[in-house]
Amino acid sequence: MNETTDVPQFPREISPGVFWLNYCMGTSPKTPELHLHLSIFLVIGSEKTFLIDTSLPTMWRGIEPQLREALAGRKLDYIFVTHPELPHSAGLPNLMEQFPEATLIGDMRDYHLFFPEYMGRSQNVVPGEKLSLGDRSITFIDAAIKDLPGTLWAYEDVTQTMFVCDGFSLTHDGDENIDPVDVGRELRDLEDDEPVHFEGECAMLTSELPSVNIKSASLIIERALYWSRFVKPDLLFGDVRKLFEDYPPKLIAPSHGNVIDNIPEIEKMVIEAHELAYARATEVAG
Amino acid sequence: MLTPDDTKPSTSSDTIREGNSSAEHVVDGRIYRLGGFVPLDGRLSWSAKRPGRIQPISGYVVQNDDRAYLLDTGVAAHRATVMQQFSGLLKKDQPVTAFLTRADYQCLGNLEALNDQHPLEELAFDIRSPFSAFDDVKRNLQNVRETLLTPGFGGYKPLAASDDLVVFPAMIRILGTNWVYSKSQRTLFTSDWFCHTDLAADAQSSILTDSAMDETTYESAIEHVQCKYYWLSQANTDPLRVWLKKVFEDLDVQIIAPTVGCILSDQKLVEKHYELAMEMLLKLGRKNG
Repeated sequence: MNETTDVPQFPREISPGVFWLNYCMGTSPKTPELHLHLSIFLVIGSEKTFLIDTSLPTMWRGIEPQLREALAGRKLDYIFVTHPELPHSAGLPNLMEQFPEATLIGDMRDYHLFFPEYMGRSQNVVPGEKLSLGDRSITFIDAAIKDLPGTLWAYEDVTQTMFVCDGFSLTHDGDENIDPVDVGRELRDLEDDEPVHFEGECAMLTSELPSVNIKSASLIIERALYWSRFVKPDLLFGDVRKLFEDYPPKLIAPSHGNVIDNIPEIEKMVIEAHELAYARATEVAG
Repeated sequence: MLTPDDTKPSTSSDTIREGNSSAEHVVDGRIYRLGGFVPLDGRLSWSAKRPGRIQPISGYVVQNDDRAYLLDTGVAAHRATVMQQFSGLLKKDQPVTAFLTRADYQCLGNLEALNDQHPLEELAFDIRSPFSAFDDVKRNLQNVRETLLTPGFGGYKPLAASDDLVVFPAMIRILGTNWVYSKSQRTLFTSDWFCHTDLAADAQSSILTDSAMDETTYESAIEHVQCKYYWLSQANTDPLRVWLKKVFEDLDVQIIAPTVGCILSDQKLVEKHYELAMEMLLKLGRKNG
């Protein structure tokens, strides 16, 4: 994270009452490494506050001050876990302890086995249900792009922000000419002073990024969504478009990527990245 | 619409069934199952609702010379049982190597608790994707040696110093996943595949040793598979079938031991469920790739 103030910082208010919190993780055990967002989001309603995902315990030191700053003295009312995969849910014990009045909310199937101690503080929701935060509401949506079954997306109706967890994954690696096969897969040795990404990119909206590296995005998609190598993207994005007709987004907020404000342009790139992942697997399979 | 005041918490159910206080013997003296049972009451995302039926959720202990290998640890809801079963299997100060087939709550739910009870000597791992969050998995395991298995795909990697257990990446999976094979016991630990079986609610054992015990049909199996592997119906499954066929050609499998569902401990049962799996992959996959 950069130290200067002339570039976007976390927590970033991406739309009135919607805050983006993030502490990037690396993609490999070697350094330097590609940055990968592990973002969570806070929605501040007039009556209730609503957190989307939990990040990881090892990132809590970086996330907690952002969360406290964004809450600005409000209490945290809801902790929505999109799905019980570690990067999205492993911070739950920290949050439940730090915010003892908060309610865990989401598709609560499986949680009675994973987190039995929190069942008394939980609320199950199903796709299509709405939750009022006062002046705005959240609609829970069956995720069109996901890894684990039971994953929910969320749509905030005032700012029209769609929270898509593992969907629309991107990296921010500063240079569209970097070959991600070297960076991500072979863990290339970079010179110490070679930038992996440019200053401030972590907190930029996609329209502010100097470029988006589609090859890097395809590698992240392969890792986050293993099945993407077997599924043709046109099948997938047909469902996404139908969903966007019902819930038109002005912002798309993914867990693993910059927040998307130029949606048609980035959607095209994400589809291309999925196509690359599919084509690479087809090529390997012969 | 739910309102801010409509926050009645979900009630915790009392229907989770603990397993026996002693671990089940999969292979006497060598392989043991840890874990309990869960009812198929609609509260699982990975299996179908089937009233009156239950599924085992399992971790395993493989005894190999003086060392025990702990393969997955079950879910937190079964913690008391798993801890009791685990302690009953180990000699005082016996070295234990732990290995998770996936970084998933089905597999790691009791890792820290078991380490607190009987300190692990070694945590072997093979998955380095950031999505596996290995730093978080191990963060509370003090003084446990970490052993990275040989990186990269292809080939079988010895599970740390074991001369019996080998590890290889699973091609049928959701998250980063490895399968484990015991050469001496011809047992294949298949993590979250071959999880399509279930049992009557009053069943006492998770191990099927005879075809007559197995009530699985194609219809019941595919109902379970489609819950977790929802994407297969949109996928080109040809590479998956080729891979599974090769696994069963390369390895002599007499026992299949998954994380969820029954242990299949009979050659005819193994053949039946292999054929079932191949048929499901064929029928679920898109015909035009």
